[in-house]
Amino acid sequence: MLKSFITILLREMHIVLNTSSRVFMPIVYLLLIITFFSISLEGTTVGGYENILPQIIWLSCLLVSLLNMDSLFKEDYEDGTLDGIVINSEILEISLLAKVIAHWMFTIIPLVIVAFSTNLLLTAKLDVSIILLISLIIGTLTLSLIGSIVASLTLSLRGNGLLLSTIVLPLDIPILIFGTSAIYNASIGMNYNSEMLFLTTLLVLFLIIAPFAASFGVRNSLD
Amino acid sequence: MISNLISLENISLVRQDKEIINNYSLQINQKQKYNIYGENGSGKTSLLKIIAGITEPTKGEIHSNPSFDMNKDIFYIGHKYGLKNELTVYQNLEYALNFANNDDLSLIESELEEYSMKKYINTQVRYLSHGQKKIISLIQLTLISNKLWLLDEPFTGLDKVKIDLLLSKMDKHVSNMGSIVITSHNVKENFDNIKLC
Repeated sequence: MLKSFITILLREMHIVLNTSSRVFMPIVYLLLIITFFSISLEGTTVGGYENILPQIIWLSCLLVSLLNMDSLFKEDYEDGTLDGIVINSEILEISLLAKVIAHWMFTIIPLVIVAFSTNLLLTAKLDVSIILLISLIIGTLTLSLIGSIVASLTLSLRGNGLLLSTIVLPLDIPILIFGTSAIYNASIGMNYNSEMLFLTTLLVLFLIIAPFAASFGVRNSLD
Repeated sequence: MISNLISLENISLVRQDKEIINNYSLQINQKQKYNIYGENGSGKTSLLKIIAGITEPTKGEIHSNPSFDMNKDIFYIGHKYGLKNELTVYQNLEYALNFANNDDLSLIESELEEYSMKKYINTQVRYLSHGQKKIISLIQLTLISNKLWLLDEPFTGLDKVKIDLLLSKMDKHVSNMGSIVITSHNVKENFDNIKLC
């Protein structure tokens, strides 16, 4: 079971290493969104747009991570490797969880690191940047887990990317609210523990639910 | 002693109000090669997917021998190749071996040599032709050697030399107590031919 988990992780890593655009394109989109926000808000925001930059970065990460979401299972479905995972997995839920974590590690984490670095460079506030980093790590993993449920259910539909984004976005709102609230509280010196606790609770909840829901969705989509 | 691996009893499959398979029964035994043949739309692929456990039948039951593990002992190759285009031939086969808990990576080179594919070992699969991808897909069978091979039209896209090589691999698998179920459009020699109407 652990071996198949690691095998899937290593496979996804090799795929990312062989196709670097999967890592770089989301980073380019993130930097473009941040740049355009900065250009449009510079000089128009009371108190300076640096105060809302971490929230902008958080939102940008959410939107960019949504772009990749439909590729979570779609490519495996189209090339037939998903059949093998469904048939030969000792525990399908573990294999699917491995796919989600691999997707998050190799396409979202680089995004998070760039987001942290960008915020630190533009605001020079290490404490807020660290809270941004931690909230993004927790939040984006939760987003990936939520996305995996919807991606599995919409697998067999053509053009499922738009449908997936439409369904996932409302589900991401609580994560966005609490993620940005934690950063805001940190920036004004207030306690952010309850927001972080809520984010962590959501993560644990979806860590338990998502593999089972995704397994159901994948089996139905292949049927 | 030849034992029964899987029994399908009174299997029916209905999709979008259309009956694809109607009250079909089949016993898959050890050391047997089955060829399920029929016209397009007769349900061959659907039946294979039911045996593989990918598709749930609308009615009927599937029983397996207690010594037969439906997760570990089946290897299924459908119309798609089951290969990642971004990975090399070697990486794809290595992944298949690792997923099947087999660490003997030396088998990869020897199998590729037999199919005259060794020169593509470090080529990304996306650069291979359809026939070459099919061969790499089929090489997984002999590397992993699960008890039951389920192959959907395995000879399509192969030249005569590769077909003969594949048939000899199949005979070797059966003589090692394995079983094979293939689908095709016509009768095959040395197979237990079952027509699906």
